Amino acid sequence: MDMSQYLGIFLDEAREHLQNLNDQLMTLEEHSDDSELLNSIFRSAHTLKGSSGQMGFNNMMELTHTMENVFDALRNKKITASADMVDVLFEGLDHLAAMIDSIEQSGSDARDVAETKKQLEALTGKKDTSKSETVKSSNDGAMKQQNDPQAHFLKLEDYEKAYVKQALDQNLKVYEIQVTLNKDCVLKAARAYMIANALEEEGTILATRPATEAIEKEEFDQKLVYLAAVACDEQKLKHKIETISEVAALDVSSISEIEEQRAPQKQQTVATEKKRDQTSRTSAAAVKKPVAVAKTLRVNLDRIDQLMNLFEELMIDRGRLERVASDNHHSDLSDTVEKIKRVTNQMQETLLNLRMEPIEQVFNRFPRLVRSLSKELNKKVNFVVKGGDTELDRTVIEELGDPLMHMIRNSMDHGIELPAVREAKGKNPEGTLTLAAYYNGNQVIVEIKDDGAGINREKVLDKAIEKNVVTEEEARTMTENQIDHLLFASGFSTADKISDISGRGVGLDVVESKIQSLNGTVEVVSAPDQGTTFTVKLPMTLSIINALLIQTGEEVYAVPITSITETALKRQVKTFTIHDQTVMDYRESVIPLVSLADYFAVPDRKTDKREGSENRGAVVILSHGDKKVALTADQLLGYQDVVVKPLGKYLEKVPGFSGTTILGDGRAALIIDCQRLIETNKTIKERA
Amino acid sequence: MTSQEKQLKVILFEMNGETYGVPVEQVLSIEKVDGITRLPNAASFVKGVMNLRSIITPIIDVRERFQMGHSKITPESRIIVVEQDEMSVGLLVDSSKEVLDIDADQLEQTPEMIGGSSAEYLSAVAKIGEDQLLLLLNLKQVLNQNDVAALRAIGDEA
Repeated sequence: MDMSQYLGIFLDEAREHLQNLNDQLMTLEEHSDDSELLNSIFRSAHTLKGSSGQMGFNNMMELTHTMENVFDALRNKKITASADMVDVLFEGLDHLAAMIDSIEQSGSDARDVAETKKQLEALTGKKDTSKSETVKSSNDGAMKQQNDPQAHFLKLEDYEKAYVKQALDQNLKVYEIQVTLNKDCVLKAARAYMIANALEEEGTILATRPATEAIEKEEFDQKLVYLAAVACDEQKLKHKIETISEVAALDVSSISEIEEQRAPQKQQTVATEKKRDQTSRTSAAAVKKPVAVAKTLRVNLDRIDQLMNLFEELMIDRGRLERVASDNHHSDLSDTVEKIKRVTNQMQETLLNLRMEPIEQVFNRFPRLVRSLSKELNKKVNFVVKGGDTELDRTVIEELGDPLMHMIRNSMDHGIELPAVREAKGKNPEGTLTLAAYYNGNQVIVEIKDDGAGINREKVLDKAIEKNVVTEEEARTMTENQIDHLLFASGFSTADKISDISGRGVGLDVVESKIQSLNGTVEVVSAPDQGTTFTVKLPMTLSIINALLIQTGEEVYAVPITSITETALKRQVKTFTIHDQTVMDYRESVIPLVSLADYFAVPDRKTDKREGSENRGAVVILSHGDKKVALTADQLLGYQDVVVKPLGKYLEKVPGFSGTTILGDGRAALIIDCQRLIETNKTIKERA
Repeated sequence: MTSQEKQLKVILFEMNGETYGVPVEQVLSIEKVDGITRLPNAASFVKGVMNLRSIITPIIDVRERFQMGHSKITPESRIIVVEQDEMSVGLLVDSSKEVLDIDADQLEQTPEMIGGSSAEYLSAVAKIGEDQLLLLLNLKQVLNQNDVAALRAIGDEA
């Protein structure tokens, strides 16, 4: 049986369950007697087992099954949770995560998990009891009905009625679908899974008989009943299900009203429970809640990009239209153009929002990291996460995980002290590590803050000199901020001994380059014995940046505003020459002056022979870390929000640019890679 | 097999007085030359990039790619946008001509001596008309990125 078309859904859902399990296991350690939590964990594990089995990933299924047994025993109070137990369970989750990755990459879930499985089995004190006792669902009413093949939806639970009512209110059609499978159908659960998928492609399943758990365990004869809210018509629905093989009979009837209406009250409950709802959504598919589910849609990112492209074209034409309108002084035309402008501005915002996702997705993986690090390092840490709902461009989120991890490791390793040391300093033996995200204008700020020892600047300097990052001479004139920033210098590690946590040679230096590649900045502030704060500033989106357009000769380039410290007119600055290198005075220091025309060898530049011509033009001060370069151009054309487009595969190796953008007149302009400009200039200077 | 069964549709263009062709299914569009943005640091045959319906398209001067000097842009000049390995690249050529059906049996292996250094960029030749030769481009080779990098590396050393 070919299940490959379900692979995508399977992987997505498996990852979702895994994340739930991870989150809930963290909570479990503190709330080991929360039966609601235990039930939810069990359900997630159970669904994961079911779906991996249906997809034919037996290794994964077996491992989940072993874990499920532990959860079941916990739930039934046969055993109680301990830190060691949670460790083993986490180990199991790691294996599952690795399996999911490997399924995605190679289609195989092969992995050696024997050791973990043995440990898991030891927890329950019994070897695999293949059919664990019947699941006692919290929802007995549904269970009673499940084995009655004649079950009809005349007897709906109150909450189910509420969903039907809601779906009808939303003008969706609600159908009762009775499916009878062939008598000799082998993989009944798999068929049921395919039917459920077919239905979900069209809408939402409101309820099933028997309940999903029973379906997964194949605890039914041949008959399945679904109640679904869909947008398509009966014909299409029928056709979809009929094409699934081994379906013997199908009966679809429409439900147009529901006799009793206690919906409003119920609706509220659903809304407030939205969060928990996500947790149990797929596991308790029997009670799919239209409020949470019907509103989301998985869309291929390519399609959104395509939409973006079309929109940009529209924006360019809008610019032309605006010019025509302003040239023609026709009031109807101007009014219409004005209106188009407003609408397109809103469209732009909406489109950008499509790519936004909550930063939670990265934050979620850190509680576990902190937990295991604090055990390893024998430190006590209270990990606080704030602002997980802050939204960022999906591309940024994907890239953010590693840099944040390095900074958290650094804070855990070097920042927060051992409990005894903290006590001696009169601090709370338990350190606090805060990971917070919030908006600041067009930027998103992510802070990693610890209340530890702070940066030992003396040690940093010694190390930096020892590793030839700075010379002793340079070291004497460095400000505290500059010293702190040395943490990000490459090939730098202050750990006394190379630990497993940080100081592996790679670390904070990767952080800075990564954050900069996302057009962001990272800073560190520290006070002795009060702690260290890493502050990452990121643009909300990578697709649109604010840039300064500069012109030299006929050519226009864009400079990302994040790299610009300030701008000046050339005649305002004092320049002179040292060793063939033109430099300028800048706040009591001297920085190199680079001409845009020379840097990019701009051709056909009309040389202005008039007097004082070398004083014409403008200067843009660019900075990267604490290095600065002054870039000169003929003129500054102004700041503008520009849409960033990559140079593309064919030209990806061409250095000097971080992308391109399209100007109002439809021409392409290059976005200068300021980091490279500054660093190339350094090497030129060293050579000279 | 009759010649009817295996036909190749090619778009013809002219360069340096010779007639070249690319398979029509690899051609996305033919554009007039307008608004190419120069791309510093790229290999010399990369004329720059152009915005074509919101897609930034690299433009390469085929003549320079073949080391036959560089193209002069005239009102006849065209950009043939082709697709190869999921990249779209514009080829700057002297002028574009008609679409032609060629029978597969008209195609011949590229003789070693044709066009000198450019022979490696051809996949086949075909006789069209009395004394005209059609040179069929090997786009994979023409758009070989290793060359772009290699040439640039030489530039960096200098």
